[in-house]
Amino acid sequence: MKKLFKPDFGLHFLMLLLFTMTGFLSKGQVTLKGKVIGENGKPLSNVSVQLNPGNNGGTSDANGNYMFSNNIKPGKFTLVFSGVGLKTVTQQITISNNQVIENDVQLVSDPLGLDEVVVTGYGTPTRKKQIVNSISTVSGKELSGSGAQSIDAAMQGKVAGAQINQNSGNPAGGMSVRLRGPSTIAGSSEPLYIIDGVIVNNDSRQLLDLGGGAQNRLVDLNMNDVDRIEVIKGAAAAAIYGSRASNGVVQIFTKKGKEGTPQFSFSTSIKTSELRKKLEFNEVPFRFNSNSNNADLTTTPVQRFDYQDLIYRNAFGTENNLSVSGGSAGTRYYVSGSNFFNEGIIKNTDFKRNGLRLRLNQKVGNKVNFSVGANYVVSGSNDIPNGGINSAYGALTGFIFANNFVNPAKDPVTGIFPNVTTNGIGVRRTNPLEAIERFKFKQRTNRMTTDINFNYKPIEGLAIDITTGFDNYTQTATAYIPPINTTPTDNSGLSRRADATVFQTNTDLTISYNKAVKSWLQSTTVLGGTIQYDKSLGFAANANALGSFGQTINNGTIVAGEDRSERSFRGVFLQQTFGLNDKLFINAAGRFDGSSVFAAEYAQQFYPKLGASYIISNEKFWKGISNTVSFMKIRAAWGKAGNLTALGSYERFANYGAAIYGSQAGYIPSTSQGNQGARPEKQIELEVGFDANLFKDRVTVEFNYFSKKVEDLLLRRNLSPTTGFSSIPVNIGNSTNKGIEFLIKAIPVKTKNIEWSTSVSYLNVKNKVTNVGGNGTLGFANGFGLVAAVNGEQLGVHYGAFFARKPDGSLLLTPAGLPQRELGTQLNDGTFIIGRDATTGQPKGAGLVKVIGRPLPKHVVSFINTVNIKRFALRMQWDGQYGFDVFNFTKRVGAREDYGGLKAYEPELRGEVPKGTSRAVFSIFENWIEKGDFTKLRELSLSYQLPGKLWKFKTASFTAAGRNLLVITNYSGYDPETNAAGQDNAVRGFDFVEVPLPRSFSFTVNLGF
Amino acid sequence: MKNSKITSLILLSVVFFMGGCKKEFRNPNNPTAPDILETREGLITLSIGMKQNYATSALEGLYINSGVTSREMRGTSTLQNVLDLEAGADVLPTNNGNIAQVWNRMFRVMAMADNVILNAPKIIPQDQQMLSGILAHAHIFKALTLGGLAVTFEKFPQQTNINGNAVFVTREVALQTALDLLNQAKSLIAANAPSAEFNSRVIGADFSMINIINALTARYSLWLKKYSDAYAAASLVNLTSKSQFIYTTQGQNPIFTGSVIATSYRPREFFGLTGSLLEPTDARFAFYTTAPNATVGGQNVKTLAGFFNTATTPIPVYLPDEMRLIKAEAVLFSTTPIAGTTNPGTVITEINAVRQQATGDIFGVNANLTAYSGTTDVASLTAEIYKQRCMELFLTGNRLEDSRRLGRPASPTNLVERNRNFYPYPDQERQNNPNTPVDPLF
Repeated sequence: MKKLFKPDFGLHFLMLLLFTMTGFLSKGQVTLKGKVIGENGKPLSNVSVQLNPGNNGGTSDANGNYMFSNNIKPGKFTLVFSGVGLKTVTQQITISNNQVIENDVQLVSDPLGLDEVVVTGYGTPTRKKQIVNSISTVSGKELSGSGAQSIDAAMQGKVAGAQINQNSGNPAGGMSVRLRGPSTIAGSSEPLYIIDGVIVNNDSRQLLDLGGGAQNRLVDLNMNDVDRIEVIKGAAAAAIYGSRASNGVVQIFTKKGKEGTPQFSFSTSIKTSELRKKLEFNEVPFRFNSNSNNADLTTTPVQRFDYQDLIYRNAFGTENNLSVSGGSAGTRYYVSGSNFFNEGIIKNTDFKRNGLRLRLNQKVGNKVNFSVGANYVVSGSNDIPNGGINSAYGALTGFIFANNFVNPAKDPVTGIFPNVTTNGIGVRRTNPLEAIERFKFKQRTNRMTTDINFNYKPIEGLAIDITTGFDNYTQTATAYIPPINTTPTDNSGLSRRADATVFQTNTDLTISYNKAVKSWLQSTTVLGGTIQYDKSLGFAANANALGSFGQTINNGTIVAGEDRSERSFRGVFLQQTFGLNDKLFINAAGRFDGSSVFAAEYAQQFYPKLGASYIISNEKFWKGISNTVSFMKIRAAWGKAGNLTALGSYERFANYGAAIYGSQAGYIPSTSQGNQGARPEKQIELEVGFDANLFKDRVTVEFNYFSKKVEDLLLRRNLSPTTGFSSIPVNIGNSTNKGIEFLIKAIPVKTKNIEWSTSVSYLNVKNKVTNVGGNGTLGFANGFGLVAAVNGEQLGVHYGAFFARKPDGSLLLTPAGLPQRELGTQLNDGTFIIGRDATTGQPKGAGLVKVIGRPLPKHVVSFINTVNIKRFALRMQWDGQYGFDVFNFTKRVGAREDYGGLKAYEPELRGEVPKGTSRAVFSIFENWIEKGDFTKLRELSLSYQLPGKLWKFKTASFTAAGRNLLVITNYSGYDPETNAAGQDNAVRGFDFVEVPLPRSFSFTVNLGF
Repeated sequence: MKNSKITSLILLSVVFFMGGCKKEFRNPNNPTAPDILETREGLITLSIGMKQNYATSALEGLYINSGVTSREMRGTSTLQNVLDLEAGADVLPTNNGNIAQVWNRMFRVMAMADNVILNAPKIIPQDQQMLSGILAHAHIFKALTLGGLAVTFEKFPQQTNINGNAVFVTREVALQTALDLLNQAKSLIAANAPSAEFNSRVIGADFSMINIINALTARYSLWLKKYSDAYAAASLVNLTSKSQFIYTTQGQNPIFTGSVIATSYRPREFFGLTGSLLEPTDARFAFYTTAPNATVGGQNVKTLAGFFNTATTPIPVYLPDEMRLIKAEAVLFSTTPIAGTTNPGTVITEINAVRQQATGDIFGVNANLTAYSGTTDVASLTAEIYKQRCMELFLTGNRLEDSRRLGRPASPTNLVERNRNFYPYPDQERQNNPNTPVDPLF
């Protein structure tokens, strides 16, 4: 198949062809061997050498040598050398009988990865050069030095077109990944994750109310097992994944064993984490005697406390990994064990994960390969609730609502914690020290992911691949708040037990046929089918009115509930790719897709895609500028894909819920009407871009323009309550994501001892939602009624009250001289008419609301530099997000007179602003929107590779790394990268005492033996 | 591996693909509409659910919100919707969540009643004793929702409409419909006495349909100023019969959870009564409210007791002494004398029966006051009837209607006794139903 691919793209390389032509036309023992070297003349290991046709081949060893032999019928063959990050070399050879062919080859690096083989979006291994859409790849090496706690955290800044945010600084994080913007309003915009062919679950289940945040289950995966990651970012590439793919697909490949003696790799690291920035607290040594009477300026001296010193700590963590890989002819294995422990910067929080992974590859004859993989993980966390979206009992929630003149320490005699709020409204908030000392919130996950894969190549060009995968976990959460405490609503104690048992399976069959139809026409046909099934069983029980001892639910009055869900998906796709003269590639595919979530008549959906790419630099006319632009590929792709996360498994039905009256079981209708006509949301994406190599491959550029249109967004449209219902899920909404992204990689310096490589990735995306129904606005839960979808605006705008202003823009104050809310008449789509009293000129009418903040960044930038000096490697990654707002709810509370724990309240105490100002602006939400623009030193690491052996170890290296070291921002809160609503799709950029991202330092030793 | 083995493996996989996948799953968590609306068991359990939902949800929306508007209760939280409800008058916006709560919950129950009334004759035509029971029961609850809406809204649909364009009628028309429904309910159970199965499953203890029908007929007749009907119906109510909504830990007393636990709303001291309306020695203050006390925005508030002091305390469907006060008011205002009564003799007798009750009320609501000693002119007796209704019927969703009917000081000129006459129509209705009328100004 490979003979059409010319072994040069205007590149120079050295090759040696040594062959003789003797002999017989029958099968005979043939041995191929040789040495593979790199540009610098040093041997290259792990280069795959493949003899086609016939599936014979081998891999180069540590000294660059390869050798394989078999009974081979004489004839013409191609010999293909390929390796990660290297340009593939193809040689034509003729084999006669019983000979030893010795063939040395030099491979040059492939900075744009054009010869990299990718799978995602194609269903069959395909060289990147041939693909018609953009695909991002991340190698495992790029992840493991990052000091991050999870794969998605380590991916931050490394995928062009992705906005990856860490929502919480908890030790297990809580990550959101958006590929080219959010693709749904009511569902989830998280991409589909596939690990070694298994669709894995990445739910963010809030089994406990931790204040809004939750772990996302990708945290169960050990990033040291990752070999590489492929990311496709929208429907144009992902159509063959059907109804689940409109958010893009992230496919993760784990490490495989290599033939040879067992290779042991051991790494151990220690990590420390600390609070990067403290909020400035109120230090004024007195307080007002009356908060409600603005005329009463009398004060009482008080002592102020900085609660943060009592809540945060310097945390410690460890990580150990041991892997063994190796294999003999036909059998390869990779086994790893890992242990991860990470303390949180909030006292008494931690996350730990222990895992085992096995990958076994077996060759059966020349035509069959099979592979099995298994990953078992036990992870667990000790949590303290923080953030204030749902729970009012968190530690940091207590901190921000506290009057910081109350000493929060417990009474040394009785052991009782004091109430930290003395304000008049009589609402209590948890004493943060009590939350830390007495609350017991724990989660534990047991997870087993397994896969089995058969690959059969019956004849040249035909490959049949079957993969079956299972992902199965049980997440168990327990919470305990002992009775008699300072919480606002759980004074009688709370015990909770919640379990989620999740099972997913998918079986994928892919048949691909590759043939040179003519000397200039290469054809690849892929027929694929998938069946998928998932099931989740949820159980939760709360008990209150607890006795003073015993943490389980049997110690109180129990209220329990459960939920079960099953779904199935079926899909068939056919894909055809043509390659013309190895420079023009045309790809078309269509997928029929069905899901049990939808009624039969809407279950079948068709998702087509179409694309073409053209390597223009292969044309003769390009020769003139090929010194400057050595490679240029232009491409365009279009496709459709679906999203079904916006509709629950049984939401299309008109469901009835149990209502027990006395001892009689009754049923009442759901407030949602149900809709048998609901369909999957559908995304249509157009992507246009180019890949180019400049200045003798010193610079590579990948550029994309994309336009995503999402139609039929499922929204819970309001119904008139006189229908008996309050909402119905209907496919009415629309949204668009338009923008550009690019990735520029350059090697400014490359000498014998020094190599400096740099890369810049950039994403500009503009999101807009329309047709949200009702009056043109649709509010979201989890945002205190202050987050909405508004026609013509980006998703999840901050939407609330704003200042009354004079025509010149200055504040229109009340007669008492205080700022006030604007009044008037509210119209559709967030518009309004301002009302003024004709005589007083004061605001008049109903309270107005408008868009006051936009949380989605316009620009997402990442800038990575790596400098290798002899055996030292210095790596530095800066991430930036610009053009977005953060809702500083934390400051809003801490600046108010009834709480007043932040420095922002000081001006009122000191008389610099009129007394009553903080109360007046408390509910004028415009006042609490801040620009979130930040530039962050995400990673900085220095490694040193020992030159020779270290004691009994063949290789040894040391890495010191820092993460989130520095943030350059005008944002006044802890960190603009935060979200108290966790992985919520629509509520973003909401700062409400979520745990800030820690600054961390780690030191790692890697040993190979 | 032999090729044949591989081929069969692949074939097996293909077979697995074609047939191994269920395409539809039943909801294991919930029944769906056909289960409930098209089966006998479904309609019986829907009747139970309707009662439960009225008792735990619709009742709360009416009692607490109209209680705030008529100044029995004080909103104590600083949430905007509560502040706006407390302010009333023209400050109360159409997007206020509390008025939507009254509206949405009443129509939710009404939809259940409409569904029972529509489907029961089709599904269980043979089982006449079950049919009469669940139809009469649905008629009662539909009448309750019409009555609840008539307290708070000037116009509203008297029939739910799944297409979203329900037609509005005046509250007077709706109350007449409620009376017709109650009358039909009476005929239904007279013609076919409900079965033992109906009585044990749907009705249970302490729920006398006939007394509830008569009590509500008396109440709504009075509101429509049909005095002789009101008097006649009130006279039929057995004052020693007890009808109440019951609560369990799974379905809790909503006013206990909404007011006592959440403390978003608290009873005003002396039920908000002042001046000549206040008799501090009335034993009913201590029955309905208790300590701890607090002051919110200058208003002294107490903690609810009475029918709201635990999560499982029952709430009466109606209070027997309401019948006495209905009789008093009917006699006082009836333009043609009602047979067997004297005016003001009967009026004062009925008032005193309430005032002087020291023990013996089946719900324990005893005033233990002295006999009425005021003047017997219509205005004074009207004020006394209003006072007794405020005291006896504290937090029963009656006071806003009483305040209007008995001509108490009104919004917008005087917000002391009620800050709104009728609520504006919720945005969610207006945005989705083109028939929504103009909002009342105050």
